[in-house]
Amino acid sequence: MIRYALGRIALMIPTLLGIALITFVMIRIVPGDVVELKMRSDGGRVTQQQINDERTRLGLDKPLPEQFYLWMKGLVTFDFGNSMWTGRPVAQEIGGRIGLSIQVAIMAALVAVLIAVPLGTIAALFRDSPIDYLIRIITIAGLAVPSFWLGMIIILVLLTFFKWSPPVTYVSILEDPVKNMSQLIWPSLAVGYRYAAVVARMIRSSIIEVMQEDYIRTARAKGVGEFMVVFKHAMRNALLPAITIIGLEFAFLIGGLVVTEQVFNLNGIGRLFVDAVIRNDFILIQTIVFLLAIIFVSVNLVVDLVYGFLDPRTRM
Amino acid sequence: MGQSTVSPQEAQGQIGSAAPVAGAVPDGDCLLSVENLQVEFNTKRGHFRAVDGVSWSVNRGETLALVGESGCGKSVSALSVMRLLPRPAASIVGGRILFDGCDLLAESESGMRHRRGRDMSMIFQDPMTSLNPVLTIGDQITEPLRNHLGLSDQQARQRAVELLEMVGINEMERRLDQYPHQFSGGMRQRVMIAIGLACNPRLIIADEPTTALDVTIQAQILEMMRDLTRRLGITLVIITHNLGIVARYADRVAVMYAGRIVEQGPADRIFRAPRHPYTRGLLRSVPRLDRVRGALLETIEGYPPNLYEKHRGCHFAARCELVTDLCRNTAPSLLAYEGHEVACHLSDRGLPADSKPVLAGGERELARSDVLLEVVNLNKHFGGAGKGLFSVATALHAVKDVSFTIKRGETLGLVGESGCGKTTVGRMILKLESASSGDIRFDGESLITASAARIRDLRQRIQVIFQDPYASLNPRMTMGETLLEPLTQCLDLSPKAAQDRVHELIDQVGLLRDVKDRYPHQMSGGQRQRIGIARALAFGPDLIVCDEPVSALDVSIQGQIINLLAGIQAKLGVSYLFIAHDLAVVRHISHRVIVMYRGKVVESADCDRLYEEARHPYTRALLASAPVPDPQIERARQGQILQGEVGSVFSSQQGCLFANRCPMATTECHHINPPLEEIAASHFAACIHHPAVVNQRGSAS
Repeated sequence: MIRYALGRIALMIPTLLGIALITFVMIRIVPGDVVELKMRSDGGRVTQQQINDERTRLGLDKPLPEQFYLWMKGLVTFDFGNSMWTGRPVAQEIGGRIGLSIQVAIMAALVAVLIAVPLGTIAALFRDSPIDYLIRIITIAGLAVPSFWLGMIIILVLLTFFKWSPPVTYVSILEDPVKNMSQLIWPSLAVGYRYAAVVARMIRSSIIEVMQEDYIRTARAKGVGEFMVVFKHAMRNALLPAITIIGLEFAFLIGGLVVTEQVFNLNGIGRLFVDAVIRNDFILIQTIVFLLAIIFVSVNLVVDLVYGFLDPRTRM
Repeated sequence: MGQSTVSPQEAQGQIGSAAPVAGAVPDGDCLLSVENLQVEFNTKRGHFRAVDGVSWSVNRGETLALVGESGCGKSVSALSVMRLLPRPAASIVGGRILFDGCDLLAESESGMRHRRGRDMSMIFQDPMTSLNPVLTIGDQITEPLRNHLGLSDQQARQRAVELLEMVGINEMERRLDQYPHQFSGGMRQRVMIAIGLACNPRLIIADEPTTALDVTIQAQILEMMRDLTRRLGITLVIITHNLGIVARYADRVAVMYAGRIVEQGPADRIFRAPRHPYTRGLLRSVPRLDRVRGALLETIEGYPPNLYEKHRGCHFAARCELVTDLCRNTAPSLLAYEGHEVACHLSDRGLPADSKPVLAGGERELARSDVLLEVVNLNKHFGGAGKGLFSVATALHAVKDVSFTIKRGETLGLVGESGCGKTTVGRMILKLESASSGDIRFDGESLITASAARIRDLRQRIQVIFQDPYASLNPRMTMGETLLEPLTQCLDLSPKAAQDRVHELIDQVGLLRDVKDRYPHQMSGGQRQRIGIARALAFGPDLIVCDEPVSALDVSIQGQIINLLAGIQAKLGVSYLFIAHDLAVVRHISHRVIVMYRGKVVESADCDRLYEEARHPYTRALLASAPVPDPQIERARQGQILQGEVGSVFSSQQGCLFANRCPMATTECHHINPPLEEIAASHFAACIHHPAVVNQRGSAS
């Protein structure tokens, strides 16, 4: 098991390297750079000389392979460089915001799993009954409704009917849990609904399939009660395919935060990412994409390890 | 299921006083009786009655066999006893099931739950899917002990150890903590039996318990089940399609056809003097080890009725050679007749005597002279997947120095148990798998060195028929499209010519031309396999590799397909490589037979000689393990059951690969790798003790 995990971690290196290279090249294909944007948008008169000096200061005049090498070297030594726009260290820019984003993502995932597992199971067990139809309508709606729209509706409902709006400034959960939660629960719900819908549908179909397996019939033939048949014999098998989806969707969620954070006016990593792209802040874009890639790959590694834990057949 | 509750005493009284339903003849010692059971299925395709007024009963300590072909309702009636029918599709609409005097259909769901696994257990067909893959064996065995008997974890584990020992699994403590995938198929079935025995039930229902297993393992499992049930006084209901198993193990037999019992009674009587034309046809159409090759197999023509349609008369009428108008209009009821019961209007008229149909032109003796296919020292290694990142990959030596020839118009039977490499040999000849070393020469030309373009041409001359006719047909293509595709794609026939050829092919395999508009799911297994054969014939091949072509089919259909293959060979002179695990089937069609064990050829001989004078202990064990449908022969036979299992194909073992299971093995055998020697004219065996292997099968041959 440990060897398997180590092997998988070793395989992450080429994957991440590839992602870094593609990101690096892609953002540089787009014409224009941060220097032009910064100086021209100020409206003042800038000489070519000043632009060139600024480029030299930021290292943008160096040949591309060298820039890439320097970035990689920085990553390995945990020196992520400074934002090209604000001049503040990238680590500081990201570090101040990542907590919020991760918290929203994890809460959304929790919301999703807590809703999806019972909902999917109930739908499967009462297949083709009114309960099943209701759950299927709820879940299909979850797939159809974009989370930013749902987010806006939530805010509107809170304002119109409850005359209340969530706090605007972020407080860490360690400082003031109540205020933190009252701010972040709404985006988590908005994002988690879709997530729950995807997972619930997966669980429903996977329970239906598992309940027709021979070993379920064996369990019944042994006189196992229906409750234990579902929760002991069927659930673990049914969760296997669902876990893959939970993992993939979690990674997807982080990407989806870009939109959600705009709607809820949260100063998270998604917001930062959008700003960085608008400003052509190469270093910041690169680092955020790379960070998201690491999260994506790690989550999938965790999924595989959990899979191995649940399914003895995949254990080494 | 809303019957009024009947107390045990009342129920007993009712049975004792008058037999309300013909067929149920419960003796005083009746443990289970099913009376006039009716089960209906509601599916998307429609509504049908899978079990239509079935009655059978079994006495304490007795073994009853429910026999019939797929879809005849034997499993459904057994699942009804356990009340485990698939819901909501199936529902019991009438009848009673009395277990020890209690009507199980009136029992509450929780009452049934307490009975399942404690009073009655069930063992299912496929051990590979019947155990939960994510729970340990120990957990699965102890579950009923903890649920029903309230044993503590410690006590339950103690009992589980005993159970594993009882079913012949060693290293019990360690095995309890393992998962199903760490067990072989035979071992998993032993675990299933251990689960079934756990609470000392009074009744065990075994639904095709050995159909998914190899012959030698089948024999071990069945012997063990018989010994255990006798020793523990357990009543056994075996559901099977294999009449050999019935002959060896059953006291009483109930034969089912299309949802009804057609005949039931003591096994001896049913085998000796069957009264129903179906039973009779079934017994005759079984390919038998103890019958010589040459004659056509007798078959029951036609297919079982489609139960979605209503049938007024006898369900067997459409296939019965004695059919009268009465049979077509009125369903016969089950009536006692000379010690057993028959549901046939003509049961008192007697059946025509055995007739042996033979192929037109007598014995197939084509000019089998020139060699068509020559396989020389063929080897195949599979690179075993290395465990983890850095470990060395282990190689699996699947085929070891296999050599044989097939002449034009000849059938070579290739026999062995699963994993012996027989299918890999077939795949290498088809070039679906590349050979690791050795040569395959087809019509004088090496397939190993031939260019890819040449192989494409040669493929038209080497065709294949697969085991599973359903899985090997594209579900989205009609039969006509399936047959047309090779003709238009590869032969460039004009649409008219291709269409004519399709008709010709359909005629050749004995189907009606309107099948060409049907999809695979609209046809029966036998019809699908006929299309599989038609497709193989499309190019007019010289050689057809038949990979277990009949093992997925029912007995009465098997015979039809084998006869069809034999007829096509007689007409077209095509050669077959006939791969099978069933020695009896192979005997009927082959001219020569090769037996493989763990990748090696252990014996090869002309067909009849191999069956009469097998000289390799493994061949003998295979012959002895396959039960013959005749209770007298089976009873006379001493138990020569091969112990042990095939063992890991990965292990590199010294000496004879069979030595660890061989009853005749000596120390030498573990060191000397026996060469394949010619011990008589064109009879080869790889055993250093072959002179000592004398014919002990006197009773059966």
